[in-house]
Parts: sequence; C-alpha cells; structure tokens
Amino acid sequence: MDRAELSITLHRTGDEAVLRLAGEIDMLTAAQLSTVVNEVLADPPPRIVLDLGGVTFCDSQGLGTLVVLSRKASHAQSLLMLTHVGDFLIRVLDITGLRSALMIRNDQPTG
Amino acid sequence: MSAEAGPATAGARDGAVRRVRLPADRRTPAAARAVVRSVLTESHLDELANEALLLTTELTTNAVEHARTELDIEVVADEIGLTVTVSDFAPGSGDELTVGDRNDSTEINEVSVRGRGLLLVDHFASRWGTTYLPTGKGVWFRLDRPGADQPSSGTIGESTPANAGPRPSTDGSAPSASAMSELMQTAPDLYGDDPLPDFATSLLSRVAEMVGAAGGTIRLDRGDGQGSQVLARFGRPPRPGSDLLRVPLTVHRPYAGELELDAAPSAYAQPLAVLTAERLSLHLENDRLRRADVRRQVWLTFLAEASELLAQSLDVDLTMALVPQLVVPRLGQWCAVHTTDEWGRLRLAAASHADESMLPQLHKVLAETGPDSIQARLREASRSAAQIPLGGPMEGFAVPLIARGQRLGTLAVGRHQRHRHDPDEVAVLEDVARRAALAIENARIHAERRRVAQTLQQSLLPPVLPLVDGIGFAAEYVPTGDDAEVGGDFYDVVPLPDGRWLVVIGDVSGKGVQAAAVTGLVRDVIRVLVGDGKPLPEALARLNETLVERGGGRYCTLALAAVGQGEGGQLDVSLHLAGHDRPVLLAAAGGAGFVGTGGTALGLLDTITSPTAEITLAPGDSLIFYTDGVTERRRGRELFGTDRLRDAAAPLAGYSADVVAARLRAAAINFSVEPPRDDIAVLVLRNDAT
Repeated sequence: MDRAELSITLHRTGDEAVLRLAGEIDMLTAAQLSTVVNEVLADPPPRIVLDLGGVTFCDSQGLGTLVVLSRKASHAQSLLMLTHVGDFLIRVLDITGLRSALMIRNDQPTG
Repeated sequence: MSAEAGPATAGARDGAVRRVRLPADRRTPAAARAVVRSVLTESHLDELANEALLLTTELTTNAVEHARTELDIEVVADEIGLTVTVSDFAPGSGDELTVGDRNDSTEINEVSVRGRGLLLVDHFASRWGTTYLPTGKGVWFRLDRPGADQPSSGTIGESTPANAGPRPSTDGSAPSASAMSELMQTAPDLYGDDPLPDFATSLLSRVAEMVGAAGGTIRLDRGDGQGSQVLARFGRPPRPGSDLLRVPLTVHRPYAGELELDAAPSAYAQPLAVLTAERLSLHLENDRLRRADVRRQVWLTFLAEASELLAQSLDVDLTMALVPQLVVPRLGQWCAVHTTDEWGRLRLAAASHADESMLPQLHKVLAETGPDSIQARLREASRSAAQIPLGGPMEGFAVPLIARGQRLGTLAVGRHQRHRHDPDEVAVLEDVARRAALAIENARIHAERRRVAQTLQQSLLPPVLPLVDGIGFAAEYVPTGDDAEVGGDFYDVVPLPDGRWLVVIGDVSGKGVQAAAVTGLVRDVIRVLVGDGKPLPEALARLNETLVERGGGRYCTLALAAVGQGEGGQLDVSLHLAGHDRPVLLAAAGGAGFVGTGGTALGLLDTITSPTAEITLAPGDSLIFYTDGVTERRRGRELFGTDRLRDAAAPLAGYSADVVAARLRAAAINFSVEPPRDDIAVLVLRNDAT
C-alpha cells in the first residue's frame, strides 16, 4: 500500500508555478495540497499549474479543495490550471459538473 | 437511480466477504480503500476499482465527518460485482444523507465546495441505500460489472449477510415473495422475557425496508395510565411536515396504538403497513390477555390475603388502621379511612402515605374544609354511595364504605406517583372497600356485643353496697378475659323486713346472655321473696322450683347470709349454702376457717335441702364469700383452691372489709399470668363494731 499518500513538488518559473502531485487526494491529504498552494499564492504567479499526472485517486473532498483553491487563485489574480487529469477523474468532473468550472488543459505540455 | 433501503448481496456465498472496524480518523478512508482494493483483486473485479474506491471513500468520509464513531466496513464481492456497506454507531444520525446538486455554473465563485459524495454514489452505484440498525446507520452501494445481468429476485440465496435485510423493492416494483414471507414468518421469541419490543422492532424494520421508509415508529398505549409509549423505533425521526403513513393497531381496549412509517403511501406501502399492523396486533392482543390474566391472579391473591387479615381483626380501631396499610403503596400513594359517627359526620380514622414525610401534608389537606376540599368530596361519596374522583394536590378517588346497607364511612386513595389508577385497580379498590366495610361492621357488631354483655353484667351487680352502721360490706369483681362473654357470677346485699341484711353471692352455670338472664331471674326472685318476709329456707325452695321450671336447664349455687346485730356488739349470721363453697371465717384474733354446711344446688332437683348454720361474728371478725372463679383460678394444671384462699386470708385478720376483699382479689389474680377464665367475685362481710 502506498503510504506516501500525496507528494507535491513545486517548480516555480517566471510567470508560472507548477505543482506535480503524486498519490491520493482525500480528506487526509487535501489539507496538504491547500497548504502548498496557499504558500504559492502568498506571492501569486499569473498561472498555477497542478499536474495531476501522478494522482491515483481523488475523491469529492479533493474536488472541493480544487474548487476552493481555484477560487482563491482567481481572487489573487492568478489562474489555477489542471493538467494530466486522468480519465476517471474527468468522468467524475463531468458528473459533478465541475469540469466547466475548473480550468483543465490536458493537452498542454508542462514545463 | 434511487436510494434503496437495503443492500442485496447476491451470491455472497460464492464470493469474498471482508469486514473491518476502523476508527473515526482522517486516515480511515485510505484504509477502507485498501480493504476494498484487496477484495477487488481477490475477486478479479479490478475493472470496478475506480468506482469502488471512490464510492467507498465517499461513504467512509461521510461517516468519519458526521457520525464520529467507529465504522464497520463490509465488503462483499461475487463474480459480478461487489457491495460495500459502511455503518456507524451514531444513534439517529440518519438525516445528513442528502445527495448534493450537480454543479452547473462555470463561475468558480458560485461553485459549492461540498456535498458531492452522495451525488457520485448515486451516479456510479448500480444500487445504493441505507440500513438502520439498532446500533446506528449503514449506507451501502452495489457495483456490478458492466454488462453483468441483474440477478432476479427468485434466484437470490437466503444466505444474506447479517446486516442485509430482505430484498428491497426496486423502482416501485412489488415486494419479493421472500421478503413477504419473512414479514409473515417473523415471530416473537416465545421464551423471551418481554419479546414484544424486539418483535415489533423486527417487524417494523422489515416493513420499513420493504416500503423504503426512512423511519418508523410503533406506539402503544397499554391503558395502564402511562400513556402512549414507543414500542419500537426504526430509522430517523420524521421531519416536520413530511408525509407519514399511519395505520392503527387493531387491539382491544384498554390497548391502543398505531404504526407510523415515514414513507409516501405508495401502492404497496399502505397494504403492507396494514398487514404488519395486523400481525403485530395479534401478538399484542395475546400480550394484553396474558398480562390481564397475570394481573388478575396477583389481585386475587392480594384480595384473599387482605380478606384474611381483615377477618382476623375484631377490633374496630385495628381494622381501620389495617386498611391503609393494605392499600399503600400497592394501590396508591396514600390512603385515608374516614368513619361515619352517629350524627353522620365523617371522622378521620386512619391515614397512611407511602412517603412518611408527606404524612403531615396529607393530614393538613384532609383537615381542610370548604366546598372543594377532600372532606366535601368524601361527604359526597358517602352520600351518593358512589365512587368520587378527588382532585387537587392529593389526587385520587374515594369509595364509600358500605356494609349491610349501612354507610360506615369512606376509603380515599391517592393515585400512583407515575400514573392514574387503571380499571382493574379501581375494581380491586372497590373490593377492598367492600371487605374493609364488612370487617369494620363485624368489629363494630363485636364491640357492640361486648358492650351489651358488660352492661348486662354491670346491671346484675349492685352499683354500690349499702353503708350499714356496724357492718362492713366490700366486694371485688373481675369479669372474664373474654369481654363478650357474660359470666354467671353475681352478688347482692338486700335489706330484710326485720331490719337484718341479706348477703347473697351466687354463680349460675354457663356463660353468655342466657346465663345472665337466669342470673337476673335468681337475683330478682330472691329480692321479691325475702322482701315479702319469707324465711330463707322457703325462699330457697321457691327459687329452686322457679329454676327447675324456668331456668332452661341451668342451675345455680348460692350462699345466703342473713346478718343482724346480736348481743354485745356481735353479729348473728344465719348462713345457707345451696351448693356453694363454704365461706371463710376470719377471726379478728387470728385464724381462718371454713364455716357452714353444704346444701343442694338450685335448679337440679325438685326438692332441696338447705341446712342453716348459725355463726356469730365478734367485732373485727370477717366472713369471706367467693365464687369458683377464685378457687378455680388456674396456673397450668394447678388450681388456686380453697386452702390457698384460706391461707391468703389468715394474715388479713383485723383489716377492714375493703382491704380484705382487695387483697384476696389480688392474691387470686396474681396466682397466674393467664387471664381469668371465669368471673372472680369476692364479697366480705365484717363486724365493724368497736
């Protein structure tokens, strides 16, 4: 069992912060994600990219956290973008109707 | 896809079952996922992994956040899918289950953060629903392999897991035959202590699951004064304003109740609820009859015991005091007995309260007067000869005490602390009142009889002995211990026409009123005869004839002594003994001896002999008469006897007649601790000349 739960690596370039997430997002790890993004938002770059390529699981709490973070980013004049979103998570986003509210750029290569 | 009431775990016997209990912790969803993941792998259901892990996480997260109790996760897998049930141990936590809305806003600020868990469950699950367990709530979902056939209800095995109820009715279709048969076959535990609540709960949960009710209640009022009580409860309490399905229970008075289901009255819900209510009612009726039977037996025993106690008491006051002791606390918090006096007024005879410290207050309330006082109500009960309720601080009711048509008073009983009197208790109290009234009446009659006997006896004795110059008379009389029985002893001192005095002491055989009547006869005949100046032997002969004719077989012993002044301060005594014990002559100088000659007792033979003994009493000499009550005073087998009497008299030489009589009485009484079996009479005649 992957006890690492969620690992986040942050790459900051001039106008974007890229967070690579690996592991599971649920009630245990969502707070960890919030903390890191909030730190980034302390000095908000124009764009924050959450690379979900390594995310094996995300529940509704994770989605809720993404909603909160997107909202905060937009308040901070930043844009939160999701990349490498898995097929199942896309389905979940469709079902919940969040796909249209969140910025998803799966085709975009990440830096 | 609509929520259902119970997981159907088809084919569980062929698949894997895994149960774990996890703490309410943030890591629990991950742990639950691990469990589900392992079952999926074992059962080759990996294709369901995404959905299964997501839904498991949603349910677990909900439970961790809302119930905050430990969780039971049960995963049941078979070849076509799996069922996961997450149960908590929180009582009544059934109301947070809302499927959130799907978001349809593209503006992130308008998107809600939470409430999507059940939306996802509802979307992905083949079926899902909730189960309400006695310990808490369970939410379950079923995921089937894509393309797998839904098993039809007929092929479902009966080996459902513990928390799996009967098959839920899916999409408003008819309840399955097996569910129906389970509803019909549920039966109370015959050997249980009180199997009804369990049975009712089991029936209620089955019917609630069948009709998809979120909750339900069965209320029952046993008519025992405790009002409507919840017999069984299932699921969450109904929300205000929700549509409730109510069916009355078909039970007989005093029972009443209803079955309530938090469900819309669908095509099946109504008849199923009616069916369940009827099934439960049958057992409730049974319970009612059994309880009534047991109660009646208990009351019968109580009444029998009460009757026995009351019957043993022949004392009015004791009977009055006994009644509240019988009633409190079994039949009420307090009890007061009032009796009617000869003017028809009620008088408090006895009162008792279960709480001793309340007794002063009870007395205070009972003493109150006024139109609404308990006293007024009691008068009404007595007057109307009917049961009357009592209000106010001492709530209860009053029953009149009536025996043989006579109003003897009232019995007031306070209600129980928790409930009012039920009809059975009222009937028992009326019975107690009847029995108490009879006992009081009996005791009164007994007391009356005793009073009559004593009055009769007193009337047979001279109220005071005459004061005669030079002659001292003294008498002591002790009636028998049994107050109601009149003894046949009597004594008299009568003036004779020739200036002498006649001392009479006698004993009529037998006891009771008849003996007393003969005693009166003897006394009066003697008075008449000697008043006419008849010589004593002739008087005795005439008395004998009278007794033989009129005495009803009773006989009489008699001592007659005509006393007159003699020469030199002496008293001349002519003594006639008709079968009576010889009197003791106590000389002033000392020495005591028996004097007189025995004659025939009266009333036995047609003719009698009555020899006369002439005795002279020197100044200070005493002649002591007595009845057999003195000499036959018993100590075990030993009798007091004449010799002991004489010996007791000897040291009393020279004392006045009063002293001698009193001392001899004391000597006889003190001889034994037993109460006297016969009347004791001592009469002393003394020459008081100086």
